[in-house]
Amino acid sequence: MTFVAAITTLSTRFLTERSFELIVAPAIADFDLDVSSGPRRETSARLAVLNAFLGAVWEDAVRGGDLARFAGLVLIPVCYYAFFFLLGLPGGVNRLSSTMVTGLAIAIVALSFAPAIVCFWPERETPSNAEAD
Amino acid sequence: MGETRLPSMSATESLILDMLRRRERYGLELVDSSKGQLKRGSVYVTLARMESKGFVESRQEERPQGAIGLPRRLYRATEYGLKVHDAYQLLREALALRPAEAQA
Repeated sequence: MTFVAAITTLSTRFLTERSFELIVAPAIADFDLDVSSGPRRETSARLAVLNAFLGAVWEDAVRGGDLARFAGLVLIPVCYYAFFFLLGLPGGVNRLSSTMVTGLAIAIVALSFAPAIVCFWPERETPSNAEAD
Repeated sequence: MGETRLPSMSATESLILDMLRRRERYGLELVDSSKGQLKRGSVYVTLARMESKGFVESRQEERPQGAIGLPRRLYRATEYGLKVHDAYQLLREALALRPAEAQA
């Protein structure tokens, strides 16, 4: 899978049609132009496309009001994992150092993001999946 | 009673409108002529935001049939965008005055 195809696939899943057309597509067009003119600027062009994609995700999440809903959805598995970790620790959290508690908290949040992204990020219409229908 | 919401304009948006005042430009062209003030990764996010606010308009470039890859976008400033830009410019200049200068 090429870089552009990967970004387009991710955009199909995570971005609105508007964000794809106005933010990601022009960045990809610039990338194509750079690649066709030589490999010298390819890395920075890739980074620019990636940045544009992340910017578009952020715009959609904030503008669409999805950020609060998504944070709420992440909180459910966070509570679930935290509860089991607390139950499973003999002597409770007090016996752990602050570094370990921080590490554990980061691991719990990271573990919770994956199912929330895969299952709950809203399906969106973009040019590519609209054509497929 | 309905309250009128004033449009907001950041320094970056102001810079982009300055560059678009005379003619249509591509996003990459804006980045290149900004001397490092605009970044490639974020220019399209800013332009999309400006389009939502009505400050700029964009269209896809016309390309010959059979051209490979996605078409680029051309941006131009709207009348409204330039009006807000000029108003902000006046405001910035007025706020930059020292009290003595303002009285003169």
